[in-house]
Amino acid sequence: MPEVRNWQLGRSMTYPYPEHHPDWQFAFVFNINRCIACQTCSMACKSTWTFSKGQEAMWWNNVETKPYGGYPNHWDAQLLGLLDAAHEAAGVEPAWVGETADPEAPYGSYEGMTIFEAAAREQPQLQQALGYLPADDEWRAPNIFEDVTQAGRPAPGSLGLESGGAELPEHTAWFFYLQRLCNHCTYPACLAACPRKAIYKRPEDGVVLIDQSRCRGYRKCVEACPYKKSMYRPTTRVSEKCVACYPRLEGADQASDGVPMETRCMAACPGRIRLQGLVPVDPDGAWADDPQNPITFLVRHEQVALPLYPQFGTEPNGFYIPPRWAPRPYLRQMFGPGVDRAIERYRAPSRELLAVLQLFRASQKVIFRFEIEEGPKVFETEIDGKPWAMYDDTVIGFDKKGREVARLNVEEPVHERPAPHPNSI
Amino acid sequence: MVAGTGALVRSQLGASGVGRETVDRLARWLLAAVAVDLIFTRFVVRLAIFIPKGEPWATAGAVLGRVGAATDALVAIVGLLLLGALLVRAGRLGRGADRAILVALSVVAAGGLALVYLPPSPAISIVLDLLVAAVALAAGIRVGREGGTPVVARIGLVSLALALALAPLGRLVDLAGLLAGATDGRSEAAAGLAIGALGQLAFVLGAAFVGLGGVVSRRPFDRSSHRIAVLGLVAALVVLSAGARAPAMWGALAIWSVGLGGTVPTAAVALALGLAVAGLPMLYRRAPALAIGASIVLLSGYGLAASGLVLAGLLGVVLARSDALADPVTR
Amino acid sequence: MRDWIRPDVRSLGLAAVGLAALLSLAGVPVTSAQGTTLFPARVDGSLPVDAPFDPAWDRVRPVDVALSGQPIVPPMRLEPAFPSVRVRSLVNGDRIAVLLEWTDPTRDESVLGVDVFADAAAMQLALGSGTSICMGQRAGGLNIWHWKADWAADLAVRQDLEDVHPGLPADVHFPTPEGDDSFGPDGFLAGQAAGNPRSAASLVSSVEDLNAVGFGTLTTQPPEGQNVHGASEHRDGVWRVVMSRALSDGDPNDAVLRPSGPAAVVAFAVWDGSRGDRDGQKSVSAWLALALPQQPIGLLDAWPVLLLLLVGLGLSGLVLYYGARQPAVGLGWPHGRPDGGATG
Repeated sequence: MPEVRNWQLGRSMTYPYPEHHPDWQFAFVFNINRCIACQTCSMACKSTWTFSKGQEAMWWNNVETKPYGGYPNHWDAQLLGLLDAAHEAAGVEPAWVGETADPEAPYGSYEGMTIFEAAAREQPQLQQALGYLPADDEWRAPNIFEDVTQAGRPAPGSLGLESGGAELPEHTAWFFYLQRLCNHCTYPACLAACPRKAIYKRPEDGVVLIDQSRCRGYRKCVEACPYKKSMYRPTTRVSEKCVACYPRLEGADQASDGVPMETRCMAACPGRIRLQGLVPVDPDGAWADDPQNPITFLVRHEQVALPLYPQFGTEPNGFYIPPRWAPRPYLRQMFGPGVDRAIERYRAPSRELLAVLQLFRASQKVIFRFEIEEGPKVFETEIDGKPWAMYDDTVIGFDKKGREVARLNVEEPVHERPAPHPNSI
Repeated sequence: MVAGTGALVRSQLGASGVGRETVDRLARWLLAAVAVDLIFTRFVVRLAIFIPKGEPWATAGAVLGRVGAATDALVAIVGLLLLGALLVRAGRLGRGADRAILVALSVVAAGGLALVYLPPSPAISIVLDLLVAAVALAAGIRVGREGGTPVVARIGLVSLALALALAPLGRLVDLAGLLAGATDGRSEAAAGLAIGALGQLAFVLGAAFVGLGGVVSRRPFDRSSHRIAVLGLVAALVVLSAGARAPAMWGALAIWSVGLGGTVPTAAVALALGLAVAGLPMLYRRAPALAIGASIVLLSGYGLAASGLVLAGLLGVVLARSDALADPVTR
Repeated sequence: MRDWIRPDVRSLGLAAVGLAALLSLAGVPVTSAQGTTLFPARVDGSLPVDAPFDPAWDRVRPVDVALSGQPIVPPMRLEPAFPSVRVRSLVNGDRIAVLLEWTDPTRDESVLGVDVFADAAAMQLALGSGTSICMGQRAGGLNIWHWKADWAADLAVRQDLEDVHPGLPADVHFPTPEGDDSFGPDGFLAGQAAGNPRSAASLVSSVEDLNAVGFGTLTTQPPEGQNVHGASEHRDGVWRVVMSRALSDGDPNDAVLRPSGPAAVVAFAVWDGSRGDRDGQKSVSAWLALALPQQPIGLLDAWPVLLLLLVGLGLSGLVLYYGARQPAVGLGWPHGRPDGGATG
């Protein structure tokens, strides 16, 4: 089986097909800290793509409550269980080893098995990837166990109520929202598992699609996708998945002015937690060093946004700024060893990072490049015993044609009305 | 297995009869053809389904497929040539029984050719299957009664001949039921399977005994025999590890290449193969024809459907006798 | 010793190699398959193509075809779901019908759940001589008849969500502008819009006519090429499936089935839906020959083969005679032992 380079694992891994990379890669950064699970993204997607018969339980985009929620139910806990059992059988420790100076291995090196390696270890190799097929009833709720917290440690006699459950740095009674759509992985498990070769990754933007005319409804992709974002549609007897709103990505939308536009779920986000981009990719699969691309900046330079379950080995292209209040062991399991550094940098952002964080949801157009105009210092404090200053810088975003599409200040404009009209409209 | 042994020792055949030399040479050609057929048609070409379908692999795969088809044809053609040479020789010097065996074999060969272009019928299939079984048994009996030393190797060849006879007999039971007008067919199918299993056992036992015959007949203090023994050990270990690590893949390869359908445990197959690989080169020095004949039978496999391989296997049994009678090589 | 009877074996061998290469290049086979053969029974009049349990079928003796798992390529199934499939075949002047029968206590004909799969059965026919039993290869393709239990059930009325979820609210989906009828009542059906036969609103047969030239190349024939008729029934835990087709249909993608021609090469596969079987997760047979008789089978009807056997007999006699006329030093065993030709 061919060896492919997975930068998120800091090593090569086995994959059924040799490396072949797109020119650009669809990618996104979600700031979990800001999400309120209003599901506006989910509805934007549903009303665009999955409103027909047979798609009732189909949510290409959903927001779920961690740690208990999941769509389909417990998808991640189930796969983590399978992967653990495989590691136990193999006598391998699924550990991350050391941080390296290699910029192409930002999280160190994963010494455990990916879902592909766990499947290949079985002899004979029955499947292309370790996975499972969720039943119908597991797909019924896009946010089951909504707002259900970890119990925390209530004192005896407190009737289960906890007074100090929400104290930083880690809440004892905690939950957070996880926003999910197809990660348009560099090494998709759905594509690997499809015996029909009906799934392909577009060379122009890395979007992963199911050919609706070739699919024969075997549901191997549903079984293999670790994120369970390939879904079976009974009315057409074939599987469907997130298409990354490719007409918008191609600039074919009437409002797009001929340049790539963010997907519907991104563009609809009222909480300004989402930033979607297109990342330039070198022929060898490494991200081109483009520090002015906001996604590249956040993921590779600041390393404040992390891949979801990188140990699965598909090299997902969705990245998350982890929730600063959640227990670190849980977050490390979910986002890898980069969690502590990411939270540290998010708590005390650099001057540049703070400016780029303003770009979330600043425009419907995909921002390919940003620039920062320096402004005055407006605030000073201490974070973790270290001085920290805020500057009212201006960040400017440019679309694919280099036209300015967004201009924002770090400090939001405030207007104080005169005293005679404190509450009037 | 011993495809290359022709170069090890030139046979002592020759001076006394041109015809025997012709047969001897053609037998080596047949041995080479069957070996190439095993390696190419029944192994590499079948493994080629795993190579990618894009260029240049697709072209390479197509070329492999052509080479496979050519070696397949080569076995049949060389087999026919050898059969012709044997007939000429038997016409001159053979006994009635030899002639009868060869004539029956000719009919089998003609049938194999005819069925390429003409539809089989149950009756024709029964006739051909019966002839195959009869030739295998008769030639096997001749080897058993008149084959040279060592006796162990002779027993092995008889066992191989028995296997070649059992393979068509398994089908025959089913066909007989068809002709008799039975409407269920399940008991015949079960009987056929049982006979086929017995045949596999006989085939593996035959390989083991032939090899054993070579091992016991080796000259003492022969250094090269150590190297050959190591080769046999390696072959056995390869089969053992393949069977243990990838039993399903090994099972598919075994049934494709030599027709062993999993009746005999892999460990026994490994042991038999090891003995055959080690023993046949040793046997070749003592009784070259016995070794060549057995090698042809082993390489042509058990109960494989291709008519060329059926012909080759039967020729192997016939050859084992003719030379063993003629030429217990002494140096 | 005359030179002309000393054939130069090396040049003979090289000539054989050349001949073999030439024959294979020209696509002329010289070996035939002498394995298990299916002999369709010949009947006059129409075939029971729509009646799997017709008494006519029970008069045909089945061939018990052993099945094994599929251990070659992922997704695999190591163990077969069923030990064997019983195959019968009937043929008349212009049509062939093949009946597959296997014991399957579960009748799986729905594919409406995410983890629900239907039973299926298939027969593959080799196109040309260079094919592979594993989904064919470029050098030689396959023609595949694939029966699906869900298609058989869909034939009358296509199964829909209401069949598995009776309480499904019949809510109105998104309103479309006046006069816009691009969406039907079920909204947008992507698979159907892409022309996928699995998503088709109506079917012509429970059997799909397909071709393949290797793993992942399975391709359905165009609607006008779908000419395999299907009928099936599940009775007392036994599936019986009849697949039938006209003998000669002129479609280059279809296997040629010619009476009194050489035997066709076929293999079978069965899927057990309740075990999650689909695609490569199946139970498969080895190659079999399928021999079409011209007339009811009898020994004398096979006269061309008999003739060739006689020619073989005659030729070998002639060669024997030729050998007998050679001088003793010519061909054969050396003098010493004229009985068998052994030297000491």
